[in-house]
Amino acid sequence: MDKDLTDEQLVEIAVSENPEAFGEIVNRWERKIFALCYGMLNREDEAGDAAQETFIAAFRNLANFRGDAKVSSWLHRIAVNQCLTKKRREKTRSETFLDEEKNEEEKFFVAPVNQSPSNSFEKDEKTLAVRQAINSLPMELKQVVLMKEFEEMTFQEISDALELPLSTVKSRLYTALKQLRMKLEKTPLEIV
Amino acid sequence: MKMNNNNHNSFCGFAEDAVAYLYGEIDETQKAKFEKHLSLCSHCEEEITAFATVRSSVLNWKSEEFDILASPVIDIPFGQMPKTVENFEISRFWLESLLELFSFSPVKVAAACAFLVVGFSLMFFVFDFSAGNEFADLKNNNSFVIEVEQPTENIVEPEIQTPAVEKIAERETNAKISNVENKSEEVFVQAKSPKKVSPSPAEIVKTQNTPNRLSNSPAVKNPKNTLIKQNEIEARIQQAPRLNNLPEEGEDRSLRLADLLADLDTE
Repeated sequence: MDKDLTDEQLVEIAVSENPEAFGEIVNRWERKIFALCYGMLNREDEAGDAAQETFIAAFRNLANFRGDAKVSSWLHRIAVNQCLTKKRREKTRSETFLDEEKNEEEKFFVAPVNQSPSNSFEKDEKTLAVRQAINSLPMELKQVVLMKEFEEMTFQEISDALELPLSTVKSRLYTALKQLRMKLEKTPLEIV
Repeated sequence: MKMNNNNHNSFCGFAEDAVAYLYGEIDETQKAKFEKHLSLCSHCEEEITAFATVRSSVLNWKSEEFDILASPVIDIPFGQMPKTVENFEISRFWLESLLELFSFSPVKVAAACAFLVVGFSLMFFVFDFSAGNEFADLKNNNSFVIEVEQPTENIVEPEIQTPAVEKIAERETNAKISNVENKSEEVFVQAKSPKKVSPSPAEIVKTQNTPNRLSNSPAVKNPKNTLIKQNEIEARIQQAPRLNNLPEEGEDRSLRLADLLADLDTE
């Protein structure tokens, strides 16, 4: 498939001529969508599932794609919705408050699978603190931070993806950074 | 000399510019303006340094946790064709044609009225034709026969003959006979004749209901009809004159012919 084609042209080809043209869109965006899902869900397996479901949902609804929006924005909207749905399911699955508390403890104390024991204690603690600080952000602030930091999207792209004014995106990012700063300053690690 | 205004915490109204500056997405004029402000405001300088630290922490977290993860294998079911634009356009075409079909226009309204009139007239014609055939069948009695259950014998209204009336008529004839034959015997007969007692209404009803013809009739078979008939009979019996109730001067002094014949035989 021609790499010079835009996302929108690829979608048109996928709809009218060759469905496999959508594969190029997947190659272009899978890493970023996976990053967003990972940032929102904090679990590799769930993030992978969410990314897979995002692209399948997009493929099945290619005909409904509006040409006036960017494909990347459309994919991000689907991904955010998939992650929110997964989070909601997870919340309803946890039957009691104790279960939720247990999950929170797990999140706090259990290191990610990829983390090797050789990493320094300070590094682990810093990583855990940042993850916990980001997880504690409200969803609307969290997704802006993740899009900016994990996916390196521009403000305009975030604005398009979330259908928000540019100024709102900037002010949300400002608020998010401010809250993160406050949370990270409160952690014992910073004091030590 | 830098300002140190700790009361404000939103970049002195430069919050959006500060974020844009942090991520390098600020235009040149705004950048120059903000950098000028930073050179003057220590608080904003401190804030922007803190934000840069937070950002680096987030990037570290990303590089330590996420960057080492392999991308998931995204498997798209290309075999299941998505709903194509052509199909969508075809469905739209059908929808539009349907809508056009149901849209109002004078020609369509006139055509619809004509269709309705023709339809109704056809319907009436068909109904009339079928009804005419039915009557014809009835007349000819060929194929269409209305089966009505009718009694095998005509219902004969029982003729109520009260014994009292009979006796009165008999008495009149007997009186004539006696007047013609022998007036002296009449006196004798009068002395000898016993008083006739009319039968009771129950007995009369019993005798009236006994005939075989009536027992086969539907009126008899139907207990309701039978009850009505019985009531009518009883009422008529009640209304009939009784010998018992005759006045003293009208007392039955006649003699039955059978009694006279019996007397003659004995003599």
